[in-house]
Amino acid sequence: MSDEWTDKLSAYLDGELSQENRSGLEQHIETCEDCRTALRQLRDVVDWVSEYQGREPERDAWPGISAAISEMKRGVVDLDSRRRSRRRVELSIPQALAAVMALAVVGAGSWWLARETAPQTQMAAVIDVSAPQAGSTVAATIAAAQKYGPAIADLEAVLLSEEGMLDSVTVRVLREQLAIIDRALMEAQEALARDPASDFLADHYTGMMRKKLRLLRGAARQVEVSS
Amino acid sequence: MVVNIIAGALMAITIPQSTDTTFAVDPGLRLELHNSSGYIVVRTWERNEVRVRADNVFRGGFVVERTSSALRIGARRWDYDDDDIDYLLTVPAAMDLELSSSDGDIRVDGTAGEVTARASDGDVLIRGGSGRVSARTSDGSITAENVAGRIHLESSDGDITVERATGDIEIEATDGTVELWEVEATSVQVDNVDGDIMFDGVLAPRGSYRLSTHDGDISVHIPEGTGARVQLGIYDGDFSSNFSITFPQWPRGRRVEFTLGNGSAELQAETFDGDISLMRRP
Amino acid sequence: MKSLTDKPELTATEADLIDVEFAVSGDTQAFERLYRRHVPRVNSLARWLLSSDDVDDVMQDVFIRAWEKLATFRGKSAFGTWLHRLATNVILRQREKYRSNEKRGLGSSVDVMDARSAPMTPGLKVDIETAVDRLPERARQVFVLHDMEGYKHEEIARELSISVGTSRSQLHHARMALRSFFAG
Repeated sequence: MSDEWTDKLSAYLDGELSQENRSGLEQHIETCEDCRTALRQLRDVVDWVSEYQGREPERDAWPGISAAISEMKRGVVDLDSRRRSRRRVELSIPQALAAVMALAVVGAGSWWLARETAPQTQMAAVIDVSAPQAGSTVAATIAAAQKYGPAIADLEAVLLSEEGMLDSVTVRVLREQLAIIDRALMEAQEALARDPASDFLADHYTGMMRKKLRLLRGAARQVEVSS
Repeated sequence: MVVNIIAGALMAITIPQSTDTTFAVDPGLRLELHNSSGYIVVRTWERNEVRVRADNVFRGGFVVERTSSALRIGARRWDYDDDDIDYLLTVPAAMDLELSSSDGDIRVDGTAGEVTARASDGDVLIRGGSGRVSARTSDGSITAENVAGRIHLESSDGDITVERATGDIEIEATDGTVELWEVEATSVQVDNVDGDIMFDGVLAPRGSYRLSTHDGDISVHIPEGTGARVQLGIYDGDFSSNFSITFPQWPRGRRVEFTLGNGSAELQAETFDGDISLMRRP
Repeated sequence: MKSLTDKPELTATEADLIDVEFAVSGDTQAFERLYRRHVPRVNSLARWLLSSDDVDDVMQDVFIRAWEKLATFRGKSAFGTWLHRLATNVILRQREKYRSNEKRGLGSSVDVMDARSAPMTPGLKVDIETAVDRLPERARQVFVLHDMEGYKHEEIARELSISVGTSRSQLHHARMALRSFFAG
């Protein structure tokens, strides 16, 4: 039984061989008893494991599961937040220890006081709330659309026609990214329509447009490299 | 046995299953490895040698080429269904690295040189790295630890995590969480669209920090006594802080500015749909 | 305790669907029936994807998450299929916690040969499950994900941080190592 053909048996079983190789293997199998046997046995292995019902666990996990479900019903346990908060706890333990030691030095009486008074930090004050002139923001948005719009449209057209030059992962990711950014642009636009005087929204919208342009430029460069 | 490969020479290594070859290299040489499919793992040592261990699954091979400035390793395509090569390299710690893989992870551990890593469908992990560290992946996560210098990380679909970094950091993400831990950079710019941003670190005097996302929360942890001019923008979300700050009425969709301490650094945090929190590091 | 779903004329799939409906509305006993019906296979899946020490916590995590997400099961696939996908996700995420200690295998074709030709005590019959236990870790993981759970090689490559080619060859090695159980 030659290695050249045996190596291909699994791929053949899964329908993953190229047309050329498949014909070659099928031709070979007609004359090779060993390969025919191996192929049948491989099929049996696959059939066995796909129907395999498993083995009972050594310990019954149900008591723990049942307890967690009861807690959840009482609104106590949230698996996700428990996981999310783990990281922060890990980071702050050494600092927390330092904090405890600092408090111990201060003394018992003043510890109580320290809890009650405001923490010792610079008092921050709000300097101003950005109050843009109405109308200037709308103008900024129009400017952004004018500056980036045509460039974006051009790149989109190029990519549409040259999509075949990029691998499937890149195309899929590109499409997903564009969908995410386009949704963000739409939301920003809607918000801007409701509040045209907001500098923040105008800048945010412009920022998203620039990101879209960067994304498309990056993809276009990849097309150039592949061609 | 250490192989000497002279500048301008091209050496083809063809092996049935795997190989283990060590090349002598001059200091200052760059390593370039472009893998079409398979992972790349790079470790470092103090010798002026590059050890290449490759495991390729079928009968492909790889080519080593020496130019005046680089040692270049690349796959050699054979007419088989698969020509993936998994590389394990050991290189001089100071060697600059330029690595790319279309389908596989890239991991670099213990480097002190510049690193450029490009993956298409794979994660990138870089430990060490200085001068210029650049990592990009389309579909995968990026982790950079103990990096210094000009750092540029980009992932389209995946999380980006930076731990213990100094220098200038630029991060571009679209769909994933960006986390910066124990960062002492002079400038940080994070642009995200659909994902949270978490910053834990020190704001350097006159440093510039800009965190922006569309649909995600931003949390900033900085030491008590930080001096910074802070500008915040939130369209649909809340702000919370354990610094002592008083606000006047904060209209929706407008920016707010305030000063902490001596106001030396500049911190800008903006999200369209999400909360911002500004906390003193414990 | 006898329940509606203990009726012999119900197929396992039908029993699952009924118990899911009950469980979604808060019936813990219905969920326990689902658990009992499916835990053997989820247990094997967990044991084969992780080292056996980790299985207890993971099993709890899997079923707790299944309880939380039960309302999202639409009945388009069999409940078992939905549960296995969820279980595989949870199990693979658990794997990441222990990843730093994992040695990156550089293709274990040699290892598989050793496992296959390992001297066995004469007269001691090794069942196929033990043979799967004994496969080298990477080959076993790929085999389980592909042939047991229906993952594509691209997905496996991504989850296990290997190349697609390695995934294909590891699968082949695993299948070849197990085929002696189907000789004749």
